[in-house]
Amino acid sequence: MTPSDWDAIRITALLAATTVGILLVISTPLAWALARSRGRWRSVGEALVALPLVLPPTVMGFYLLVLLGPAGPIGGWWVQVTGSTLTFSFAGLVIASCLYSLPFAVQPLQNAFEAVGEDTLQAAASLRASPFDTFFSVVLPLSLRGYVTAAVLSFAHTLGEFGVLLMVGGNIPGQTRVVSIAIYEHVETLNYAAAHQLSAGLLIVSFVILLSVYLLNGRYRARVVR
Amino acid sequence: MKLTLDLQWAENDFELRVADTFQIDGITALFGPSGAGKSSVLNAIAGFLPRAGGVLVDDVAWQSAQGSDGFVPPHKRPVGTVFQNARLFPHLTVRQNLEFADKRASPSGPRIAFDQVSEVLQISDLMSRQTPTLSGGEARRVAIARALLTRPQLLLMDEPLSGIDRSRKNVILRMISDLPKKFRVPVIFVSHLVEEVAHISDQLIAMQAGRVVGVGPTSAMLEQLGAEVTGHFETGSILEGTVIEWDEALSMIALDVGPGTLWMPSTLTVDKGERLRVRLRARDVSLALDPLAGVSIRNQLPVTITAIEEEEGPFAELRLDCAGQVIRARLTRLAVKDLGLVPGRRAYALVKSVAFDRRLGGSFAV
Repeated sequence: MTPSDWDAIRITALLAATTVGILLVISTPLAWALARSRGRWRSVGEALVALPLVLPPTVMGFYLLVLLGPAGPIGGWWVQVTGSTLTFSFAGLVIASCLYSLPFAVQPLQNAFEAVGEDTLQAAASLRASPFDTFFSVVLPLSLRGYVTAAVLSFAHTLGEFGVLLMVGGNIPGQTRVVSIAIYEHVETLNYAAAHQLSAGLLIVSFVILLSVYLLNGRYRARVVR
Repeated sequence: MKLTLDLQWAENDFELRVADTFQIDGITALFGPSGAGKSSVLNAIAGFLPRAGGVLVDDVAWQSAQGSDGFVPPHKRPVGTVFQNARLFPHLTVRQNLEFADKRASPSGPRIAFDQVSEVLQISDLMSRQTPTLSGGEARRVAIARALLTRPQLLLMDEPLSGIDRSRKNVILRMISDLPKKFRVPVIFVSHLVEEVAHISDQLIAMQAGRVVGVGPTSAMLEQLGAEVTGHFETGSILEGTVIEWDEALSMIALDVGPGTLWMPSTLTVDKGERLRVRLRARDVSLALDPLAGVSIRNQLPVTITAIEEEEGPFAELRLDCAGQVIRARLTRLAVKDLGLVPGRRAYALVKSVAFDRRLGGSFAV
């Protein structure tokens, strides 16, 4: 593998890890709000969160390009503050990945929060725990499995991104070229051997990650049912 | 503790309307059939029904009928709640569940020691257990201990014994009846079962269809409440007496109830001189005009008939006076006619000792 391929692997891993970290933090209040709300607003929120699942990556990429570009509201502000552009940069990739993988973090957390149940929250309140206290001492530990699932799924999903990243980040070696884009590049230049190496690597890593989620869930079920 | 409720709340077909002031000391039973609104009242006191109306405790408003002003959230109310299904935290051990409450207890609450709670509820051996492995009875005892460790000024219990078999239930009922004395905390105990409220509650608030239909001392209330509140075949009465003998070999207790002695089976450990309350179901009582010899029925109490209430069907219900205590008997109208029973007539109330056998689901003692 070429040094540029190793760069792509490094950038991909860093991007996925950063995305997971940010997503877990912002998905927690979002998933909690969705789990606790009722009625129409809940449906609106759920539909918005699920949007990246069905939207063509090019559509998302296009609007992100508009928003994050130097002339866009967010991109313009970023240029003023940092002096560099958000598009075609690693920071831009992180923002795009967070949006693209949002449902993979929010949905497992929402399910986990809902599974805790109103009864348990009432019990905690009856023991003098404030809502904030209850969240950290009861809801969070009971939702650990949801957090693991959310982290793993959004990590794996970020590894597999292509369209959005290509539109927002371009294909700058050592900066925004991730593995999936590197594979595309190798195929374009008919370098099938290099494409095979990266593709097989991604395939195996993704399988191992998903397998570990399912194994973990299976073992957890067995332990609880006893 | 003075509890003033001004509740008005509707959900689906159910409407709750309670406006009354209650003096809560010792154990107060909130009693009535399912769907009477007992749990809703409890939830309002605990703070889980913010829009149900006014709750004042010792003249301090926890919530008012005029909207959300001055609403005290559940975690700031000095009440402990024992829920129907224990609701222990599954990710914590028994000890950690108790410490959860202990750590957050209000410093101004009653002094209740951790060790004393675990001793009274007999859970010292369970401390390191994971809560999902506890039996129903164990989980309820831990839940009661956990609620006590919040150092509450009022303990609420919502059918805390549902789904527990009778012998275990009686053990826990005895523990509950000791709580007000041992920890100086008044208890409101929700139940739809006469056998539960009869023996542990001092006062009874009867509810039906979202309304309070009666308040008073438990024994008096159970004598006067109708079948629609108590459940038809549960009509009965309470007799109080002193334990004068306990035959451990035969598992029998002799209870002196004034004009006579009641023998009844009991597997509980009791002391001579202890006061016990016994619930006698009306249908377990027969009448004889003269004392009987040569029968297996051990219990024959001299009584005077005070009232006969003939029903539409084949039955009649009689009120009997037994040296100031009331006994109710359910006989056929045929028997009333044949024996020539009339108010004022003296007779003997016959009660089979087996009627007290808990396993048969009959009357029993705690």
